Amino acid sequence: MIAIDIHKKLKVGARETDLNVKLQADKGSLTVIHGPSGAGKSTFLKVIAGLMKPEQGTIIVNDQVWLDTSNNINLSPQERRAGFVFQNYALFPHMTVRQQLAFATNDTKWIDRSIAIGQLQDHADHKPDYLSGGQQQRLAILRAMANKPSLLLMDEPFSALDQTTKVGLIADFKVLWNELLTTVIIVSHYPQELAGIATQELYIGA
Amino acid sequence: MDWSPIWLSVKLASITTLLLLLIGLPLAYWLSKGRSVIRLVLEALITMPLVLPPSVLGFYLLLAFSPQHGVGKWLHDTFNIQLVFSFPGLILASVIYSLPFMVGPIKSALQQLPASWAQASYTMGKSEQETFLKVLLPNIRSSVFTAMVMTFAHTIGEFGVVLMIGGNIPGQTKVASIAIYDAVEGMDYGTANNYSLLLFAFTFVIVTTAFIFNRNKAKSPLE
Amino acid sequence: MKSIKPILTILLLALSVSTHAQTIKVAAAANLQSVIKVLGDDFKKRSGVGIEPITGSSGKLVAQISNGAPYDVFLSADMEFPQKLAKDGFAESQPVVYALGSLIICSTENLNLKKWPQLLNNDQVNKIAIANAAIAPYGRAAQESLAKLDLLDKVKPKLVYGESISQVNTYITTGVVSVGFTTQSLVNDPANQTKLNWALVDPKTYSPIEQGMVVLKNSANKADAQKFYAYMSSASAKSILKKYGYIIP
Repeated sequence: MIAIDIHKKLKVGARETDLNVKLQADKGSLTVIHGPSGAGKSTFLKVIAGLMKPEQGTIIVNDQVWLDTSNNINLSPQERRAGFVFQNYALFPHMTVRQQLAFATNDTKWIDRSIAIGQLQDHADHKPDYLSGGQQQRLAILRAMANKPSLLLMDEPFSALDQTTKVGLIADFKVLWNELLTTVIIVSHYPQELAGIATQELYIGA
Repeated sequence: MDWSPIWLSVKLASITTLLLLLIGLPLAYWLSKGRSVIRLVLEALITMPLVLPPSVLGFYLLLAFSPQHGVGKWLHDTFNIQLVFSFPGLILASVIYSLPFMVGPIKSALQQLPASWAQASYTMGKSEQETFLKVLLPNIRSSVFTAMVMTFAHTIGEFGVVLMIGGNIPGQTKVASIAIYDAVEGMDYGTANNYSLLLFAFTFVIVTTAFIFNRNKAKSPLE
Repeated sequence: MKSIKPILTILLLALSVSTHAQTIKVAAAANLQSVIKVLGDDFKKRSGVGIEPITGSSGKLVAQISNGAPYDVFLSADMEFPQKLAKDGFAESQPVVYALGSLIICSTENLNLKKWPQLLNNDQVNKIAIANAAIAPYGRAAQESLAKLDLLDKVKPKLVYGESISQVNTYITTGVVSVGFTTQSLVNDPANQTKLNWALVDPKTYSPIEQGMVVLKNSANKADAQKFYAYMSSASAKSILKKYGYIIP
């Protein structure tokens, strides 16, 4: 069970706006967040992960208090270990596919399975610049899943994929998420693509 | 020909470069993290040796480490170390003098890395230190290398500071640049020529090798 | 008259140009650093010609002169350097002695310098400043004295070499050395603010520091240069030099 309630001041260019978001999600659910650009969707994900701090708020994840500003509780991103898929993938240019996954986890069986799910067997020892855009995106998602996080945050994770690949990938990952009971929060400009599997939708507007 | 000035210069430049690597990496990392007032002031201080005349730096070091008062006196009375007219003193002076050459390129390189890389690493449970060593540092290797080469070359050419606080002691502080100056003052142009050519050739080979080695991602020091 | 204005302007310009030209460049050995200004002011009062002193070690100045430096007169700290210039054709005539220099040992520390030869071996004396003997005659004299007193090898590890007497003086007055060998004129200089402890080095332990001078062939203003050359042998110049600790032969 995830309970989030935060208030953060956003600076968009010269303007300052307020980001106020309340979200509750069951364990193993999938929430899709959509809304106009600049409204603060990415910021919201970063706040959950602990990469940014809101002025005020609470975040409770599966009975663990990650953030409680009134009681001065603020776990570091390392302590929270939320899986995060960045818009620009954030793949490390100097590590091969296998090395990226190994950086996140020691579980070699899981690494092999991840490589298979991502269909990256032929590229396991290649560096990211060798991979296509779609392969890089798959790797980014797999890396975020590598240490089996209880909460997975994804910032427009399917934007580089064609429709068929996207559908197949989402289906594959859904199996995984069900298996691990991962709670997923996805920011997407096209909420329709997840309509079939999303448990709830959240709109963050300007 | 007396090789000791050349050897002294190489020794001084090598030790200074290694020390600055140890000092400069954490310093550059901390500076790259934000733009607070403290950071800006510190960065300005670090850049001072670039714009100050070397003799000014040398003069203030002379006064600061005089064994008659303050830090210099304490060092002398407690440890019998003197930082003026000694090789360790030259190392300290060189570290200060060449600091911007090591910190500058590394800090710029770190700032150019996407913030999301470090952030991704943190969400995987990696500490700042581990992130710096395993994610950031491997991706700024060529800048670090360039910084080391520039630091080395800059220290080899150091003159004004050494003239002030070296004391021109043969075998200890009479580095190549001072030996050349000495030879010219004494009209021994043959010796001056020999040392100059040697230094030039040595530094040229090092810098050229470094740039060739770095060819794919080499950055000209003027960038 | 309408033509008065332009004539006046030209006259004024001509005057200012010629008064501006009435300075000569005097290359002076570093030990003369303080006394040369006084000599210059006195010379200007008497002749209307000003001097621009350029100080440095005698050796450095000779190197510059040998390579075309535009100086008019050279006041060395010895005879050998100006003799070399004369031999190589850079001087108008053979050098003439204008003063004898005195070597002293000097310190800002509270040391009893009366028996300085014994003191040098003491642990109290940490570093000893001496001018580079190859280019500074006072450094040469100091080295000679140390050798004569059988001290040179023993104190060599403590020696620190200044590139000129000026640098030695800096080392002495800032206290970065325990003692230094320098010129008497440092302590005679009324402008010196630092409290100095000093003793004369026995002149018998070193060859006399005969300071010689020449007018330079490269001078652009030989007439004024000769005037200054003559002035240096005058009674008033001699009395100024004596005040600054030089011995007049």
